[in-house]
Amino acid sequence: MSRHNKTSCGSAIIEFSAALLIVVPMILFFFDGAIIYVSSAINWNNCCEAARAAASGPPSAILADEPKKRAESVLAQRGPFAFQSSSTCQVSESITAPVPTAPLGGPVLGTVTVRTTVTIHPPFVLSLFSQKEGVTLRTEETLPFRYIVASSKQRISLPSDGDAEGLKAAAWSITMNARPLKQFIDYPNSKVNNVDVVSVFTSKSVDDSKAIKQSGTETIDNAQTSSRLELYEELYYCHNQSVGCRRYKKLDLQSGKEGTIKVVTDPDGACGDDTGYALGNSLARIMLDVSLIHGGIREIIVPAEIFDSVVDGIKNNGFQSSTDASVMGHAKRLIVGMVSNPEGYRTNVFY
Amino acid sequence: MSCHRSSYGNTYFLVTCMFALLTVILATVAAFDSLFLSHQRLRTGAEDLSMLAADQMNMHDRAGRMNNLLALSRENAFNTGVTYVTAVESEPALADLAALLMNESRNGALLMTAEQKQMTTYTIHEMQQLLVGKKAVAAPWHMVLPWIESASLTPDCVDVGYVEGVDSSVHVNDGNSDLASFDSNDRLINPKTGLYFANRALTLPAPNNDLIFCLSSLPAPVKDTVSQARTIKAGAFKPLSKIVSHGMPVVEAHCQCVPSAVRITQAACEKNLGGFVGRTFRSATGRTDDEAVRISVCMVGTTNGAGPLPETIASSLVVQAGSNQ
Repeated sequence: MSRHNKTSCGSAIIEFSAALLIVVPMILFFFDGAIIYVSSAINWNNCCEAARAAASGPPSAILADEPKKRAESVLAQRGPFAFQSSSTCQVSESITAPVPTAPLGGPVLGTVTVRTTVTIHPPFVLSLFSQKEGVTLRTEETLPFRYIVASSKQRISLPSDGDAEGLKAAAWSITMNARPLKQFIDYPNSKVNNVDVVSVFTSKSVDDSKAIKQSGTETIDNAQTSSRLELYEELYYCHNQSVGCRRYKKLDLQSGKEGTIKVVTDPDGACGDDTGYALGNSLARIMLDVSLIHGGIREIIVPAEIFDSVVDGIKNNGFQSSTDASVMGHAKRLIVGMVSNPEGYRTNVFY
Repeated sequence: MSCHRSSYGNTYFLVTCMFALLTVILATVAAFDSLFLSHQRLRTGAEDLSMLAADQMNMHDRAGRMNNLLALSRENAFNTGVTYVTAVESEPALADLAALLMNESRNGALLMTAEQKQMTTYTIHEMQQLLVGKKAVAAPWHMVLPWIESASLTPDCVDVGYVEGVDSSVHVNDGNSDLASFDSNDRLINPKTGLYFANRALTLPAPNNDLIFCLSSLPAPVKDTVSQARTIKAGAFKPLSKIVSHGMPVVEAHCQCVPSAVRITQAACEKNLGGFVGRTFRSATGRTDDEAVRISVCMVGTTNGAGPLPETIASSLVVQAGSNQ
């Protein structure tokens, strides 16, 4: 009986040991598999979070590499997980709608794809097979994004007044600037795709400043008298047609006093196709507005490069032009001289 | 012995019944689960389509810019009208010129209202093509299972409209006090927000009282922040026109203003759904046809808000005088 027991016990130990040789590696194999599975899930989760961060904010088309920075920031916050040796993150972007042209804003639509690659080193059985390279896990997540670009400020560079003596003698001055606004309303067969905008600024007169000085409310050095330009109105044109106006204040020029109107162009010389007509129509409007408050216009100064097109624009708005004073005898009211800057062209426009 | 036989027979019978019952329960659960799955996919598909359509409605902020341009055109007509009246009263010699400029601004206003009509028609046509055309049909939503078959996700019904309580995107121009007071007196402005009411006839005083403008309902920008396209509660949607009916484009679909929201009703046919589940659904929905059970979802998407017009700033605001350098 005891012999039988001894034999049974020994064989049980041998069987148990043999089973352990199979079961333990199997358990370790499953443990390694579980590590890979969990790592894969964590990697996928991180990839989703990174893609979400990359899709929420300005795309690369607006700020270069910004989505990648956001994605990498999320991954850095998460940190490396257990048994991970290296990770890489790739971000690619696809824009489905064109980026709005400055200064106009608008939506930017597209998709952003984040690919994360991590290398896992399983600690047990699988490390024998993967050796030093480890197990590489790749995940990819694509999300759509919608980013709205706000319209930027339209900065107009107005040259400092070289005709300071003239301005000093004038009671007021009006400065006008025309610029194109491309792709304004952008869809097939749009009639208002390209718009010209004329900004009209008025400036406080030097005489006014002197009057203020005498009244004691403002201290002004006569040698360094300054006057601030204020936006009076903006006029919108397309296809030689006035289509809009935004008035910012009343025309507060001194009644019965003379002033000058000056047309300036941007230093980059950006002019639309309808700039001549737009400026001509704007000048006709301003001349009428000034006349209705009994102001006088001494002269209109226009850049030499657009002088002819502006004169044509005024003529398209009911005015006539002539260098001969005798022709203007039948003019009803408005007679204004136009000179170019620099000098070279001169004419009179009258209605 | 006979007692044993009887006992075994009962056990076999009970086991068989239990299996049959379990099978029926599992089949029912599977059918409901597939319906639930189908509903979820339908909902996701409708949401995707509504967002696609919502993005398309105000692509490149065209609806917002059209609103701005219409308001500018209205102000243009108002200003030239006031100038004309002033010229007639105080400077009759200049009345002709004032009339010329006023007629030009009137023509500009008519051009803009015609452009608004054209853009609205284009937007509706574009959305019909987008939702009923190739893009939507090609979406991989066709699901076939042995006991259930979902049809492809073509929208059954599409309405365009606006979101209740959202005014136009145009602020009243305080710089033009005459126009602001006229609009305020005529109750064209929402006093709480300072925005013009949307989908309402905006008139002008004489001599331009025959011109009528209508602005779209669109979220206005808050400083430089523009609202994003999103899905909203179906109850907030106010329809203007039906553009797709029974999966087909409505030819005579028409809106006065550009729409800013879209409601998509999407349906899927569960063709082979029969037995208990099919009967339950048919009795619940009041349907009598034996062929298909339809499940439908309704999703409303609203487009992104309007952006502000570019602000003009003169870079050299100070003109130096009296200092010839």
